[in-house]
Amino acid sequence: MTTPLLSVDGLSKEFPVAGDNWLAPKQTLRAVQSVSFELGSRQTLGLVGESGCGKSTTGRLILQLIEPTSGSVRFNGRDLATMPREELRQLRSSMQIIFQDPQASLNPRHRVEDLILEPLYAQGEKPSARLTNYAGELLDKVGLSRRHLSRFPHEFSGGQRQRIGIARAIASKPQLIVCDEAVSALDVSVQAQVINLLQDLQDELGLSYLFIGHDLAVVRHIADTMAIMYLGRIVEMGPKREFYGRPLHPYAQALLGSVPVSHPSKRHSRKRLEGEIPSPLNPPTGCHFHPRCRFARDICKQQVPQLRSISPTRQAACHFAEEIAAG
Amino acid sequence: MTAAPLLSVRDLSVSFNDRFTAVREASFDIHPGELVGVVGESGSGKSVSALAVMGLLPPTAKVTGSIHFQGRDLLALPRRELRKLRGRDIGIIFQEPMTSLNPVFTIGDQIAEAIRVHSPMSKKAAWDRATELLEQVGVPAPRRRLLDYPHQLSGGLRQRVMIAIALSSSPKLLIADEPTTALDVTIQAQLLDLLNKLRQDFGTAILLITHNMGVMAEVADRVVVMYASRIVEQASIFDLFDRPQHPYTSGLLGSTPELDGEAHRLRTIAGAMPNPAELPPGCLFAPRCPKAVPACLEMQPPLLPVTPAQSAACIRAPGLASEGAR
Amino acid sequence: MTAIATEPSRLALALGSTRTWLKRLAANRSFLLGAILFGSICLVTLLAPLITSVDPNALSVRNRFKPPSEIYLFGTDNLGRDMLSRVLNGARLSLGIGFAVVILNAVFGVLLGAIAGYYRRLDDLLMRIADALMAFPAVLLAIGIAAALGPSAATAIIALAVVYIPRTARVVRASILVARELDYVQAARAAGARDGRILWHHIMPNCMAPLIVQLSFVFAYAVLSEAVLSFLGLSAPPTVPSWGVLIAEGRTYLREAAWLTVIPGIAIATTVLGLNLLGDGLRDVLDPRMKVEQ
Repeated sequence: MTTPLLSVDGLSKEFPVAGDNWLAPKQTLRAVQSVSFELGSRQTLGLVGESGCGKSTTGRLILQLIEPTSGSVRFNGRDLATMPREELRQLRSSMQIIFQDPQASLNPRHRVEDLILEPLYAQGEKPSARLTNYAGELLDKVGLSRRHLSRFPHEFSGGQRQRIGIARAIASKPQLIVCDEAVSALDVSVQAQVINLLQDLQDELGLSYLFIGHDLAVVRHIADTMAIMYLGRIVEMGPKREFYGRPLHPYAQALLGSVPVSHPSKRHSRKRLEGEIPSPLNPPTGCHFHPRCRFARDICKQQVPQLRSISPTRQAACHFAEEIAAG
Repeated sequence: MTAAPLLSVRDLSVSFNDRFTAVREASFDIHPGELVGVVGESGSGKSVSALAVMGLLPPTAKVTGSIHFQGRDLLALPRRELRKLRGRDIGIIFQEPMTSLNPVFTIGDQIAEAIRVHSPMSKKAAWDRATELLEQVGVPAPRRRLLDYPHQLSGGLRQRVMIAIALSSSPKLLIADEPTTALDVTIQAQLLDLLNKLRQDFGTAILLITHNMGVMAEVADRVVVMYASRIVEQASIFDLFDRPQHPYTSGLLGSTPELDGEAHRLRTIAGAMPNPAELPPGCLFAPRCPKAVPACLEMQPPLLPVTPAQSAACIRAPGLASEGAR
Repeated sequence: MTAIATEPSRLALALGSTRTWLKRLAANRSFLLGAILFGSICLVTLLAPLITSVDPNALSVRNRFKPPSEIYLFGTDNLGRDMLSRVLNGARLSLGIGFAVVILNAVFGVLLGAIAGYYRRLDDLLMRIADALMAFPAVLLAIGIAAALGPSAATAIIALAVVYIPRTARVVRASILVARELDYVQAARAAGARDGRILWHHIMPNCMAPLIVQLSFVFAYAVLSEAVLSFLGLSAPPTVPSWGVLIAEGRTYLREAAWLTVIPGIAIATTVLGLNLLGDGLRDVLDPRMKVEQ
């Protein structure tokens, strides 16, 4: 088997959190707990979960924007954590990120040309007529035009700003782009445009995406493989078609069941997930999901279920995944 | 539909500083016990319309038209009367519950206060009623929760508290402005179920403002679609999803990602919402409309009935029905 | 909805365009008044040689204790020296020391603030030292340092810089802590930009507004504290009279010749008031978030 583009193994991140007062002991927020997956070239992994599940932290750990507590991230087979600083800095042009808030992700003081060429300047290139021309080409590629080059971000709509963010992300010809809730803040009609744009760019430029999101309906349109996170752990992973056909983990089922229906005739009283997401500072013992799970038994309170293969292509972290799969 | 509407909005227009008009000639009704959804993207005027009905627009807003609630014109009502009505007969829920709750008082204090404003009773009785309300909106261990401060609750629980406060006076109309937008999907689903239950149990009419067609599909009886300050279509939920009459509605439905069927390429609406300062002539949607004809650029089509239960502001609407828009 | 949607773009406009800043500054009364007061003091100080050519140290025993008049605009002192000349020359020293303190503050405040806020390595240590220094009343600490180093203008500058740098460093650090988490700063980091580029290009512009505001206040405090130091004889030697020295000398004759203390007092008050008004105005326009503080 060839080396995957991105290979994440046992990635964990703990944040120290100050107690309620300075006498209280420091607590540890285990934001990401031994997350492992692989992402091939030209593939899209959809990483989905609700707030506080650690999906955004995972994205930033992979890009080494945050230092992992443990675990490794390999990019084209090379471990990013042990790589010399300068080498990592240069390698960064192969990995880019698109943010949720197109307003906050663009420096309001810079013109579009400088914004989208930033990744090249960051690698030491100097402004030139050739680069200006290249910036124009990038704008064409994302559905804007080169007459926008000298404008400031505030002159654009939210959707256009996100296109500028995408142009910046592809400027250094990366192989991997982390899309951190990249379409969540956009209006529906604009969101569809941006999803299609991301797909077109993937085909044209051979990109791989780590597509982080919370909306299963959105992610379905772009991902090849799905990974579902709950309170810092991946609870299920598998090919898109199989996952959406029948999720294995009870949480994944509940998440899918919570997505609003696409037609009023499909309204029915489904089994809703009860209760709230527990605080990641003080997660439940054993399987983090057990207090809300309708299949929970005693073992779930005591033993952490490992993410294990249920079928050749699918993995789930549930003691009873086979039973649930069998119905 | 023949009974007198609870809320009747006619030719509502809202403009700010003479420069920019947020809502133009909006007319719609809400009947007792009905859940009407107003759907649109940012800048469509849906939230401003809701604020107008609540009487919460800033004084700089110029409001014309009429908003009749139980036969009384809210726009002609003195501010004091309006405020009384707003707390008692019209309940309000906002997108971000944290900013609507006072951080220095307990949940119990705030709900009890809301109860006592409208129906004077002892503190003890008000707290009992507050417990009852929290139970009705599905807050577990309500007695204990009453002693909590807002920051101790999750977003979903805070929204339930807001609903409890809105329900404290048994209002006839509940206005909810993007109540689930800031919440996780599993919590959103719970709250939508709650809204449905309120309607069934208490017969409360609900005006739900959202940008999410899926939310409409889950709970709405009737939907008002807004685009760039105008209502472009009004229909029962089934008519809207099965036979959308306005091209914008079909576009919106087409670009909404779905869980069923093949994960096809999403359909999109070309372009973007026009800048409110430089609106195109004629139909506001014409520049983005795949079905536009030269006549569309000449005048803004009025909202006209296509069937008794459905109306659309499109000159090509009656023809669209036979073509099968979706 | 639309009204809310246009809000961020207006904010971006305010941040993005220098012309709007200038326009809003011009409309800010506090800033205008402050600028006029402080500006005229600076102007008069710079033009001092044109206004009077009298030697500030020239004695004239016959003209002792002359009250302000057409010949001696600000009167004369106990040795018959021309007060106009002394006040104007004193202004050079007072403002000069203040300016030097501001420059040192800007350089070291930004340096230390950046080390603490961006690199975080020495954050705890630096901030505890800053806290410790800030725990002393500013003037008292300056007096202590100046006394230890021996009186001179350089001493006053060093003492005042040491006193006010922690405050500036804290302001810079706080702005950097906010700015470093901004998405576009993270984007630059993800793109492989070097620390220097990130700091200079993306983070520092966000710190400029609070820094400028802070420095205008530092200037005011420095002028005031320098007056205290020289009053106590801990700054420049009396041969070059700063405003504090003038007040100290005039104090003995407060009853007979009040102008000897009142005039330099007014000079200090006007400068400090002007700078404070200027700072308030700058703060309101450049950094509305800080409006509630102080």
